[in-house]
Amino acid sequence: MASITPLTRRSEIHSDFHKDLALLPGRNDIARRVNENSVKEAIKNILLTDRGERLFQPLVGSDIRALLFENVSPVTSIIMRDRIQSALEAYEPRCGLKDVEVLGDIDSNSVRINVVFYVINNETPQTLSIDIDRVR
Amino acid sequence: MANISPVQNLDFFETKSALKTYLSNQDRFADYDFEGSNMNVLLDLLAYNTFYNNYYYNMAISEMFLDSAQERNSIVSHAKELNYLPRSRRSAKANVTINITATQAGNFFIIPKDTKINGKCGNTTFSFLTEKAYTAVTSQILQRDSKGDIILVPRTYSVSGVEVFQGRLLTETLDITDTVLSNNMIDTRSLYVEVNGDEYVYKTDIFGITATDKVFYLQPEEDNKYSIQFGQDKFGKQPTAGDTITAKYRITSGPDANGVNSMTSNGIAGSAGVSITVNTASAGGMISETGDSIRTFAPKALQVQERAVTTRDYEILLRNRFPNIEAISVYGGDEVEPPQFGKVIISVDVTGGEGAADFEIAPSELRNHRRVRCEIEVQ
Repeated sequence: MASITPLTRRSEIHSDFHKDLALLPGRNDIARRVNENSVKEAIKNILLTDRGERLFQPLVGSDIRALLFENVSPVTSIIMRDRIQSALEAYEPRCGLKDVEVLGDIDSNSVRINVVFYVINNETPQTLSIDIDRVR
Repeated sequence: MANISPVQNLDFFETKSALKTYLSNQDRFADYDFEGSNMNVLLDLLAYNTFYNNYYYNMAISEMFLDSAQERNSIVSHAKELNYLPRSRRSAKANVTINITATQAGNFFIIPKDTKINGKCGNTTFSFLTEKAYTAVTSQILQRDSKGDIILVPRTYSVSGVEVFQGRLLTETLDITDTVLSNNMIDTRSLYVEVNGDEYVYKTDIFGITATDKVFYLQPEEDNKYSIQFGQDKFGKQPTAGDTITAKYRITSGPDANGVNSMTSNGIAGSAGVSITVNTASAGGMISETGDSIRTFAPKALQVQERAVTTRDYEILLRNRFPNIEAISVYGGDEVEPPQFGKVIISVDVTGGEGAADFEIAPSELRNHRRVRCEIEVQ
């Protein structure tokens, strides 16, 4: 008698579409980001949003772009980290923040932001790395 | 899936909340409620677009009706359709006695029209003008020497009951293609119009006007301005291109000049000294008619059509001309004891007594609008 292994369908707690409204390959249906990927995308959106950018919601965003023309120093990194932490605590309730690391790379004119977090109700730590560099 | 609820308000967040409620009925995209999600960006866009359209249409459509228009220019435009002329600013008026010291042989001293008098209210000085010429007289007799020749000595000429109006005179030369008077602080009662040196008379309606009558009409324009209209050679003579239209009028500070009780003069040509006694402090200065007032009276004015027939017509005409009326009651003489047939009795209370003197002209104003021979009495 064959044994039956019960399958548990992976639940989808969080679901969002892609920023570019991408379609599923070969289908005319919109592709989705679910669970951790959805939260990661949301965190990225918050980090790259400046305050005053959202209509009628002037406080939404991390405002790290305002530090664009500051000299890169340990203080800048600390300010950036504080802004990221406060923005995520305020606007991303699904994210249990564990650590935020801001690494400035003067030679390449870029900053790497590492956000370590776990999604609420899921104890697996997640890491999101974002590189911010000049565009020209 | 439930239908999306219609947006019933102009609030951005209420609109966004309605969209979220709609999305809560599906489970394919669950992140609509988080600020960072891509869905939220789309929701912001939709909510803003809805908000913007709602606001725009609400404002635009509101302005299309007299009842709901908020902009004064819109209200005036609707009133224009009803042949209603909103009241302009009104100059404060004071009653003074002028004493003039002059050395001359005659017993009369002419105070010309538009003579300027200064009045002070607090730290602000206002100019007042006479609206017509007055004649001051002296009671002092001429002295003669032993030969019987006249000795010219300074004598005092006096005139009381001089009405002076606050404001400054402006003269504009207009072209028939653009007859809008440029200053919006005008007191239209003072407007004097000439075309090629011929005086044109102001008329409020076309009743009895022929094609050759030299008359002009006033029409409200944007921003509290007025334009001069002519009769198109049907209801008055129409100036042609190249004619010189001269408009002379008084601009006024309105209610700011109320309560002036001290006046002086810089001198009148031919006089050695002028002293002024204020009999009645300046009163009756007003701002131009407010949007709310126009909204109220424009339809009523159309109803009355400038005719005083019923007692209600009298009330509306008077309230329109004398906005400081606090309460008014008009009734026929047949209602009093003993009956006074052929009489209309107006009982009026004027706000704070201000402008009460102005009300004396009410019967003469109404005489032009009554349609039956009746006597008008103001109490």
